[in-house]
Amino acid sequence: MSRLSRALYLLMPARSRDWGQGLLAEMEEINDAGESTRWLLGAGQVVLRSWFKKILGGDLMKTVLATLSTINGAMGLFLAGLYVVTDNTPPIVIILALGLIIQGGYTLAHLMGRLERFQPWSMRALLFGETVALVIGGLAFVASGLRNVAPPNGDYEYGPFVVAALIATQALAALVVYTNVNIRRSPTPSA
Amino acid sequence: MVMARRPSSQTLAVSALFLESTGQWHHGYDISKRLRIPSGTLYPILMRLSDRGHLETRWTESETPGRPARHMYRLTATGRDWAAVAVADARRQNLGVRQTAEGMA
Repeated sequence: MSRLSRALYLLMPARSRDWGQGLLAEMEEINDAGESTRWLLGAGQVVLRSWFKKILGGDLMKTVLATLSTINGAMGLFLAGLYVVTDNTPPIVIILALGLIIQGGYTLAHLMGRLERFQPWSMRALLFGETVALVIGGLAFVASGLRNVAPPNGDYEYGPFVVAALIATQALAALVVYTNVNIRRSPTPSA
Repeated sequence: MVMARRPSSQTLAVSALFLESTGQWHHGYDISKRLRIPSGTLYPILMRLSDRGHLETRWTESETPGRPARHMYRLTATGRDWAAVAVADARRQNLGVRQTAEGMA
């Protein structure tokens, strides 16, 4: 248990280490094994929250966007792997995979503040890219949905439908987060 | 327009506990036990209160030799003002500020 405590302490972001140390010091005062375990689980929760707060400023929408971006990046890597290991996979698969990886990866990098030094162009590129993604993803979502209503050869195609939904959903979330931030940052007109 | 978010019922309970014992230092396990709030919920509340300048912290030696120092907490002067208003508001609006375990018994 003490090794686990030490590991949790080391996992805390540097700014919150005092709190982590205080939280884990309390474990020594707890005599009940069940209660100690619950306390330790709580400590794990605090570590996760501290990281979320450090990376995303505790913003719920940014947390949602980070999750969607991670899913898109992972889906992109999966499709790229599928394209490499299987034969006769149409080239559209690798194009979609690269699109998902770029969309997810770029947004995650932006959320983590890695692109700050390229401002304001990095933000403009993000807003432009996500707008294009929303239009293309939205159209592809509608088109693949309509195709599945009456499939020409009797085969339902769920792959393009899911990928289009992922692209459009992440784009929408990113535009909500970043246009909202821009509005909040704009100066308030004087009365 | 910027709207202040209403504190959660757990934040109000923690604030009420500190208010009831103004000036007294509490450690996390004591607060958790008295309010029946798990550590994963309690510490983010304490950290938030501290970030806003409502809570001060200090380290104190454990009563049992050989055990690590304990982190103690109490409200600052601004924290007391803030907590008094927040708790009074919640009570006036009948939001039900959670009592300590002893208080409920």
